[in-house]
Amino acid sequence: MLENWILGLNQLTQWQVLVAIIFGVGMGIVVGAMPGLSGVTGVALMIPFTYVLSPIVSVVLLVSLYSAAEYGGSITAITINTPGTPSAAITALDGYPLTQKGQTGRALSLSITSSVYGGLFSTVMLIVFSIPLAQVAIAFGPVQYFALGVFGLSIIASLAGGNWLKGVIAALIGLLLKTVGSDPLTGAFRFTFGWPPLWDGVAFVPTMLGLFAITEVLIIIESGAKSRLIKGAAFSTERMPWREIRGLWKCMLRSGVIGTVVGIIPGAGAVMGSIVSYNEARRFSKKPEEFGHGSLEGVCAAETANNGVVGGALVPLLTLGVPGSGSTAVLLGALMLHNVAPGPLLFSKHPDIVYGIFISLFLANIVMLVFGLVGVRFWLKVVQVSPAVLAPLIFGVAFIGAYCVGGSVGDIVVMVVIGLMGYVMRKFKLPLVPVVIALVLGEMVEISFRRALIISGGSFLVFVKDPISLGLLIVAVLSIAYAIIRDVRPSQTKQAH
Amino acid sequence: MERQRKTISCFMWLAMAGMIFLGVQASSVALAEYPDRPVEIIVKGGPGSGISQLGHFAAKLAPKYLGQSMVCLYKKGGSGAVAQAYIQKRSADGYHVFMDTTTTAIVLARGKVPFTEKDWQGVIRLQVDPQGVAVRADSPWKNFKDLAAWIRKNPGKLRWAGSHAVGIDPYTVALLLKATGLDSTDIKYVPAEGASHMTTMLLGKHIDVATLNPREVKEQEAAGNFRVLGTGHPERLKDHPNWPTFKEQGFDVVVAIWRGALVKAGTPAAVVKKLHDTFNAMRQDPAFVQFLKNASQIDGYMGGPDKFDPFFKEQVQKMKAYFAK
Repeated sequence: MLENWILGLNQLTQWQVLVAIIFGVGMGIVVGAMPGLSGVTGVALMIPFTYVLSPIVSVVLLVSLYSAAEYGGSITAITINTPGTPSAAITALDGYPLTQKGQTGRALSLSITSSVYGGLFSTVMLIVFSIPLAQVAIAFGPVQYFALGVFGLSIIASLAGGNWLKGVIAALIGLLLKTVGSDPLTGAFRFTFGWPPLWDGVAFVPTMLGLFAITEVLIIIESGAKSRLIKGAAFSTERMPWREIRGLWKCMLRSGVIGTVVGIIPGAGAVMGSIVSYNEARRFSKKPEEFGHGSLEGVCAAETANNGVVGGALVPLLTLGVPGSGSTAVLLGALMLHNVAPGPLLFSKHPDIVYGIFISLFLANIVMLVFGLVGVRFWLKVVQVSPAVLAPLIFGVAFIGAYCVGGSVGDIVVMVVIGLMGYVMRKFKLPLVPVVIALVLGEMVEISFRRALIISGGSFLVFVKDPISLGLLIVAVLSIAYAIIRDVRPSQTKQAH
Repeated sequence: MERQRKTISCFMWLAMAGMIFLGVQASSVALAEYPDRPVEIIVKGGPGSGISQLGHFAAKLAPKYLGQSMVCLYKKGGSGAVAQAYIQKRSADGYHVFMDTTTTAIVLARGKVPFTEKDWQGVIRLQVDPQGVAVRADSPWKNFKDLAAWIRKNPGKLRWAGSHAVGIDPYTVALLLKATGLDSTDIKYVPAEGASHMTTMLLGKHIDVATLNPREVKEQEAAGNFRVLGTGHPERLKDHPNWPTFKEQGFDVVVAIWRGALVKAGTPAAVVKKLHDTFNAMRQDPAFVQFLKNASQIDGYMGGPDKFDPFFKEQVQKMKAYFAK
């Protein structure tokens, strides 16, 4: 054990490794902040450049990039209401309202601190418990995934702050979009209108760009590019003092655990981690009514969790050779190119790589903290830019982002259509985040449900016979009931007055 | 008035100059020897996928032998349909090379694209990746014969996973069942999202059998978690001599994923040959040999275009028959 740590530390004496961490974190923050580019694409785009590097330098570079990208997404979510990564959509729920109140500095400093905390917490979990935690990863089969997906969707009802029905409508729109494309189990085409770009479904990145970037631009134009601050608010560059951040330790600890555990379950991902921890944060909060209107706890929960997912997702990769997320799947491909095949034998065959990853995760988070805190100053400038200048910039970046990942004009068309749809939805005061959640979880629910039935031979009993599945389904029913009751009650008391 | 005339004449001169310029350009295109401009390699798989790695690697290594730079482009969508259309819309001059996989044969065979195998010309096969069948090491089945016998005794019970519902994996399962004299209803075919997903499900005992390629199974096999019941290679694999083939167990199933280069049909034979010679020289480059080794891939060279092209077309025909059922 000790000699492995020394071996890992030894790797750090190479200057290339330190450069890789600093470069990786820098790239990761940029990639994460850019709407349209996320950790997955960032890691994938970097692979060709790692051919010439040694395996350890490559993996350190990619891991640093991956963890920093999860933080980077929050920057654009908070400053311009355009989440750079899917999970940052949850951060935007409270991060952008904070900007509208002029508290961007507070939101940004909290987001970087929470991210670093989540990253460090999950790294410790990864190092200490990776072998037993790996069992969580394989405990999830089709039956359990279905229940997990339903549980995730059930949170939508309580997400839409005060109006569960609007949340449900938005989620149904997302689920409807998810039905487009070739049927995941039979390959038959559904609602593709004979148009090849739709064969693989409504592409996710253009959808995100349309929903947030394009919609935001349209709203800015409509408002005559007025200041985004709400009436009576004044712009302040004040950061969140350490004393206040420390006060959120309960929220951080809880979100760190949730993020790590969700991260371990392959395919559940950062979005799932963020919504579950956001929901729990509100449940335990003393001021649940602030959620969705600029709650600091909301930002803390989402950001801690999505960086907690990073360490969690590495658990199955390093112990079983099975990736826990999209980014780790690409990482697996990169490792293979360097003749390091992740698998059950990785710890004994390549301890230098494993312990190198452990140590570089710590360092990457520290570098990220420095970059993030220094960066706040620059991000604050973004908020001060006039919307009249910002709108065309966002518009341009969105078009580039939609095209460059797949090189397909079809993706731009998808983005524009979804953007118009998002604009109409905002006019009807329908929340947009449930659409994202439904898109992410809709496929998990559908495929797992049908896959589970293939295995069970058509019997629905499997969903209640399994303890994990039964537990998740019960929690899902309770959380929907809770949301409805909570929404209905106050209006009754109001009428009584 | 005078000014207007001047402007008009100025435009006329410009237009004439432009036409002369274009004319010279066009004639030089017609006369120049291939390749006089960068060649595009088009892939349908996103960053990180096997085909994207091959495409980018080839774009880096092959220019040395082509004498012209190459660029790898990713055209996303429709299981390669968008990439196919991108190339088919352009002229058959060899400047757009489709680096692709067995998937294209399947997509063509399903007839969902407005092209057929006759619209393509095979250039070279660069990799083969044999299909294999694996189970957990604690399973009762020691080889594929055991498994076949068990299915016959317990029809409709076995949970057998492969990637997706349409593709090379279900095709492989169908071939194996046919060679065993069994029917598709004798097992439960579970469509999975890919190799990692199957590995997780198999480890967690959610399925019994997985369809995996050598590089996807070798680590779990080495760790003593999985057992390989058979591979679809004609003979035993050099790196894994302990894995039996289906063939030696009496099941005549040879099936593999291939990766290679195609161009639009009608490309001049000299250009096809030039591309073949380029990739063939690249294939023997030590850097490429190392690349294959790291990715646990087998060199798939089967001879010039006169060998690969008929192989490709025959495969599409075979798959057409399979989908027609």
